[in-house]
Amino acid sequence: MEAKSLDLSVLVEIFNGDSAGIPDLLEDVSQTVDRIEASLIETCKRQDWPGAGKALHELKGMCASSGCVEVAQLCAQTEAILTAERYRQVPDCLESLRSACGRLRSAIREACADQYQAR
Amino acid sequence: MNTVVMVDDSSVQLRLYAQMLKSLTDADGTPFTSPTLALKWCEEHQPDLILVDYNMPELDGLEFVRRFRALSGHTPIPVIVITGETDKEVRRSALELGADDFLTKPVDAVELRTRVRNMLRIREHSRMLANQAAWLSEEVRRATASIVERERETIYRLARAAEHRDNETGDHVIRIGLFAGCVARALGLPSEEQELLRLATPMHDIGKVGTPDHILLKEGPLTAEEWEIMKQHTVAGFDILRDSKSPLLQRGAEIALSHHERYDGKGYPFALSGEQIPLSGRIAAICDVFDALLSKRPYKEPWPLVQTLEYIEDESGRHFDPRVVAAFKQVLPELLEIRNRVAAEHSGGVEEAFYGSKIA
Repeated sequence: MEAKSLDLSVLVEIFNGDSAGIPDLLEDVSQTVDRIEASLIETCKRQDWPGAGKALHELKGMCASSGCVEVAQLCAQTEAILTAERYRQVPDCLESLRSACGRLRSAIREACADQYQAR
Repeated sequence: MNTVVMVDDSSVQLRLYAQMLKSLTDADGTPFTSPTLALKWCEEHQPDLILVDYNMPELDGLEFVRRFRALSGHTPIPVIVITGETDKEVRRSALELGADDFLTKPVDAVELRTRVRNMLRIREHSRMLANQAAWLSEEVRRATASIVERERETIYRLARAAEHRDNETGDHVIRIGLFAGCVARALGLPSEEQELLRLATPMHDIGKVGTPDHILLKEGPLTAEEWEIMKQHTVAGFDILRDSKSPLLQRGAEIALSHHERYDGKGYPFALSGEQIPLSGRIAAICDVFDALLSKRPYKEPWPLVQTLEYIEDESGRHFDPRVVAAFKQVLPELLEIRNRVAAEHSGGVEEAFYGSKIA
């Protein structure tokens, strides 16, 4: 089964029914994804694997906590590849991750629009 | 309201934690993306709980815990380390450094709230215990101070009882205690010893309780037989006070026995000389004679000050230890001021001030 880009129920549970703050948080998530993604591309280009590992870890933690399931899973897979030093597979993983980040951004835009409409 | 300091380099995580804590009415989250800034804040404030991420670029969670625990007064504040690591070593190190609990990422809201609530409860209990310990310690201090004061009062009143038989006011015992403290200070004795001598010297004549009235209050010169009986008050005083566990009574016993010894060896009861005589006895001797000469006694009128000082000077190296005479002269203005003050203020207040350590 394919992982969801954004599982909003995670945030709804955290916000305990008070969903007014969710769009604001999702905007923060989106900006953080942009920042870490850029850092990931840069570190992988330089083959700075420890740097890439840190960026992946940070992205994974935030995504796992905020219901961004797909990106969190791909981060975990890429982290495992780096740990196993299978660096040849990194470009493919990075490509998958970038696509997933794109889908996440769309999902966030959609969710925010819905939330604003709901208000 | 309890302050929960939250430290995570991710602002998203901090917002999520803050949101999770919102439903706790007694906890208020204070977020920090910089662990260094969080530590600085903790130096100036007293948090009630720390929530800290393990994986941070600037300073990891373990180092944060170590530095936080090193801040004074922050030991009983609970710390929860949030980690994605399942590595036993990380958890063990965190515990060794003083972490109290862990949360694993992604953090479950219900679990976080429960652990925070539990930790705040522990914090509250430890605060109550600390308050109770401080209260108990203060009570013990007060009770001990009261016992010490009662002990001093009892000793003082005992000394006064003996003195009362040949001296109406009892001021003499207060004065010579104060004199002895001053002379001891001039001799460079430690402050504990000065205080001991101040309180013990009034017991010098306690043995007089056993001296018959017809000898003690006789206005004319004593016969040889009467004089032998009179001399016994030194040994009687020693017998009353000896073998006590109280350093104060031990010093009192020493003074009672030795305050009529003379530096030249012509005193009593043992005709000790020079350094054989305990220093406390040599100090008591000069203080006793100085005050007695200036005071009226059944057998004599008070001496003028000049004559009294000449006598003391003449007796240096004979009756008195020259070193003690020098110290006595050094504090003479203070001794004269004490004589005036105690005579002028003769009242319960002076007495209470004496055994309550209010007069130094």
